[in-house]
Amino acid sequence: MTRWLPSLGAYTLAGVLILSSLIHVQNPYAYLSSIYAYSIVPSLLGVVIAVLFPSLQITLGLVFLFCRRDWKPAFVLSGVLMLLFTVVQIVALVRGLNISCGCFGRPEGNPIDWLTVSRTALLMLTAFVGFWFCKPSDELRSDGPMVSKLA
Amino acid sequence: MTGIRFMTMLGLFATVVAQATAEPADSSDRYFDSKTPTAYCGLYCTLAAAHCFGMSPPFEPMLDEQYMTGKYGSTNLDLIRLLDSIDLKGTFRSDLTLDDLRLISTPIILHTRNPSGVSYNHWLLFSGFDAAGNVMAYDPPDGTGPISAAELLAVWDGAGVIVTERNNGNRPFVWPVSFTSLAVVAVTGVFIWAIGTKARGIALIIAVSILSSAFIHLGSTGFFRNRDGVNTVIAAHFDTPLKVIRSAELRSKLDAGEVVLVDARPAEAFKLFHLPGAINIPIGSGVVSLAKRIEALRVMSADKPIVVYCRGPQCGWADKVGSLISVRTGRTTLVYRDGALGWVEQMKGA
Repeated sequence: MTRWLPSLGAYTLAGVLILSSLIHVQNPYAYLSSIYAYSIVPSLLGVVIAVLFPSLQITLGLVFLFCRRDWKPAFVLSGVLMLLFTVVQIVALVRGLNISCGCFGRPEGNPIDWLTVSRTALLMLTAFVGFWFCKPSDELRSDGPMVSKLA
Repeated sequence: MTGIRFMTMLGLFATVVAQATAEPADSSDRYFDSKTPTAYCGLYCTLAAAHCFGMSPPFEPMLDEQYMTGKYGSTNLDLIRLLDSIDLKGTFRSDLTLDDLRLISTPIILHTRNPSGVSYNHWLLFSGFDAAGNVMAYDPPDGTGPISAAELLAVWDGAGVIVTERNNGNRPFVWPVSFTSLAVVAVTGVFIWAIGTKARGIALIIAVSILSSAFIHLGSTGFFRNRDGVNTVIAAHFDTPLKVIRSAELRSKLDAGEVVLVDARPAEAFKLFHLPGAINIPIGSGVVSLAKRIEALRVMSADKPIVVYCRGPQCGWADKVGSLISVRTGRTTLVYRDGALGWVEQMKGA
């Protein structure tokens, strides 16, 4: 069972991260607007997030698809990203902001509620479970520990 | 597309005539005032789109309640029903990109917001690109002309109703993802694949992300080449703290011709009364109208500061419009808090 958990988590996260990032790359201005709607970050940090996060998401998604040996760091970064998303959504809910989560699609759709928070929290859990059960990258390499032992 | 642009101009003319003659619909249970022409933006766009196909449907039947069922006017479904009633076909897509606009050779009614607002509650008609790559848009009720692609992206949420002739069997083809996105995925994927055997950890993932970000945002619609687009979004969410100018100082500067005065109140109020020499950039200006006025302001007495005012001390429009002007023109912008009321009082006192 635990053998399959990292793969299941990795491919699920890959799908979610790539889908979400493509939507944000297609219209970065709408993504910037949805970041500002949270009223948490100042204008410059919002621009930095809008520039970096979609690319980070694409990269993580592609690492999950094509680069198994780097799953561990990818799980860590995905987990941290999802933790951030979960926290800011909870903060927005507590503050009573009626805004879109900005996760997928248009800035006006997908309003924040406990369902979107649970979905993001579940993805965060997936990332950390994947990290926990993922084998270290050295064990996946033919020239890893085995070569050292023979030497 | 030149023909389409010409027909759009005719459409604009028709809508202005229609606006002047039409009776407003009863909309007492709505969030908008049906007598306000801005609530008709979807209807105007539909009419202008019909003109693009050489049709001249009457405007009065469009004012029916069934075509304005949304909080702020027409919804996408209302527009599709309305297009259907005039023998046109509307196809709603929520995931359109600039690449799609370049590929689709038919008018598209785009879901946007006003540059000074944060809610996407407005429709404008896209009718093609000009030779310089600018977007030709009709922004109801009275804005028409070119705006930059970044200016459109700054106010558009990616949704739109693609308008086609009903009997035309060719459905507009829309790519599921934009070419830009495909290129980013391809380049990043190849990069990761190429260095896969040496890939190590978090640092590498972040490095690849930064390279990918640079690739996206150095492009024609990216942040680095379109500061205006970014600034418009910032100005909608953050008020730039503006210096305040008092009545006496404003009066002396006006007498000496040392300031450019901007009135942020709606056009109707501006027509009734405005400070001497003021130009009108009303709150809630559409993207086309705002782009034109800001462009005019950029070159107008470029060495003089700009002073913005609205009704009085309680009015926040001057700060909103002032912020927008400040970030878009980069010029010194002040706010005259006493506004039109304060000016009148001061004149009475004098």
